[in-house]
Amino acid sequence: MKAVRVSAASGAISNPRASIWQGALQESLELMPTPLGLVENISPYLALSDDHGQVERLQIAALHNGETIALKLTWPVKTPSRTLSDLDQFSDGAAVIFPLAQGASAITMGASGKPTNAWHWKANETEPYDVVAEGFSTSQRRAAATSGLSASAFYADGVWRLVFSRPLSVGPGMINFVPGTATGIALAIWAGENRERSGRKSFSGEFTPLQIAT
Amino acid sequence: MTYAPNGSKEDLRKANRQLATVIDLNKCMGCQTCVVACKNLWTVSEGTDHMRWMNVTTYPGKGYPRDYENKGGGYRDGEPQQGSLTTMVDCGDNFRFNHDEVIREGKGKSARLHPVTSKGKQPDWGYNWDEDSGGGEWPNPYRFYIPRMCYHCTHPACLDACPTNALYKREEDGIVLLDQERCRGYRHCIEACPYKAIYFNPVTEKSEKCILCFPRIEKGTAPACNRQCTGRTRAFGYLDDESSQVYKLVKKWRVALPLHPEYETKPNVFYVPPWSPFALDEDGALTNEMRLPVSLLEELFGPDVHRALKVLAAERRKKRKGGDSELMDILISRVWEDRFGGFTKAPLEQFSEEEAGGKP
Repeated sequence: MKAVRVSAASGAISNPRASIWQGALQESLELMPTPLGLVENISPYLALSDDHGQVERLQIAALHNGETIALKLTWPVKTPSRTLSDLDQFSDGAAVIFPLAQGASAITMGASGKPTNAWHWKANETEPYDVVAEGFSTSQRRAAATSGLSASAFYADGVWRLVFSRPLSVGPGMINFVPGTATGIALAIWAGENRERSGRKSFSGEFTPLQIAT
Repeated sequence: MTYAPNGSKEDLRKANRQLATVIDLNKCMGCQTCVVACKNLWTVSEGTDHMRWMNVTTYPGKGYPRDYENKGGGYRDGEPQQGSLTTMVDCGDNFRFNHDEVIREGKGKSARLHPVTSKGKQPDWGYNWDEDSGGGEWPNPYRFYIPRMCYHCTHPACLDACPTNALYKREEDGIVLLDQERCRGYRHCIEACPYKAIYFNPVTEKSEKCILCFPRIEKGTAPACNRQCTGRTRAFGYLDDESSQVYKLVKKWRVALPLHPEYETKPNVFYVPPWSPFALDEDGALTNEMRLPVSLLEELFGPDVHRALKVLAAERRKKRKGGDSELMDILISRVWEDRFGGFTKAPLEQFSEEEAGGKP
């Protein structure tokens, strides 16, 4: 996967409706249900889940302009869930996760001493948020303003289109992107209609490389 | 240990002592004073309208939240059981009434006071919608009231279910608390709790539950539901305090039993099973059978209910004949202070102490 360098303004690449995305290189990723047997010690009830992972495929494209990086995620959902209309309802969601240390695993959201940084968007919330985690049940949320993370999404014709954008470099404790180098990336999608939240989700598996073009 | 969210489930459920409540179902008259006492203290903020941490419904009936007994959770042979979530209507909703139309707009003679649901619809179920439902057939109908709350279980399924470790037992007294800072509103706890005693707040998007009035307990006052009970149905205290009535009813006389012990969470609220009049036969003559089928009580309180009922019957006979019975004296409850295991300080005394800057 490659974040292609463009000369468009940050405002344009942050907008999922912007024309610059029409020609962007898209990659299709197969998603699978998270293997929740792994969380038996953390939640034996969550580990019983056997009907999660409703979204099976997503498209991803990445652009940067030397200042801002933007990731566009596109995935189909038959019935979008944008609000919590009852106590048993959940909203659609998406996340991308990056390693902050060599050897960190996406499947476990890192481990002690091997942190990960994720960007999380939920359809029922106006702002996305950053997550820093060192393994299951250690995730800490940070307000989007901390890193300048933003998300813009719209649903049309049975498809969600979401763009995460953020300055390439934000300092220690979060993922920093350096043109000419690569980092790892993995993705997760939650289908609210299928009561997906927490570990109940589709994910892309272990980190795959994301090249940041010079 | 003190709450350490990164600890193991075993650490999180560890408690050195356990506070417990006993409720005598023979004396509960369904007045809902405990419900109101709890509601006024803890669930008046936005997003909590539908919550009744303390609730009283008739049995047989759908219970509260509606059909909680059919929503899964808990354990069977030590294995966690899949559960489902409660809805706004299951939790009794938050009915709104046309008070303005009837009272202030001069339509008192034409408009009828009626509720609508929080979604503006005609309600078809609510908290105590089927109040005073019951079972049995004439001439032997039966029902009783059953007050329910969080059972502050020794093996809480909610605590096991939470992937963020937001739920824990307090080391000093076994109260199950839900850390609002760590809760992510995933609601696995609600699915796991077989009693459905945890409620989702759609405004904060976090779950909430009974806290056993711990701020009162820390000042020597029993929880509001127990203290406010007008029928003296309740005893409260530490389960290992041999001088407390909870110890005597649960451990010594063994007449107070957990609800649905088959859920295997080891609840710490115990019930003295209800007695009922003897049934009548077709000719209206008294039989030796109880109106309330013992099989039904066994479904609720497990096989130990047979023993408990025998002990209660024997002690009742003894007392009726003029003998002494420690058990009957406890259940009669002549001195209310005896009921609360030392947690008898008046809440208003606390208030005036705070007003006086903590000086006595």
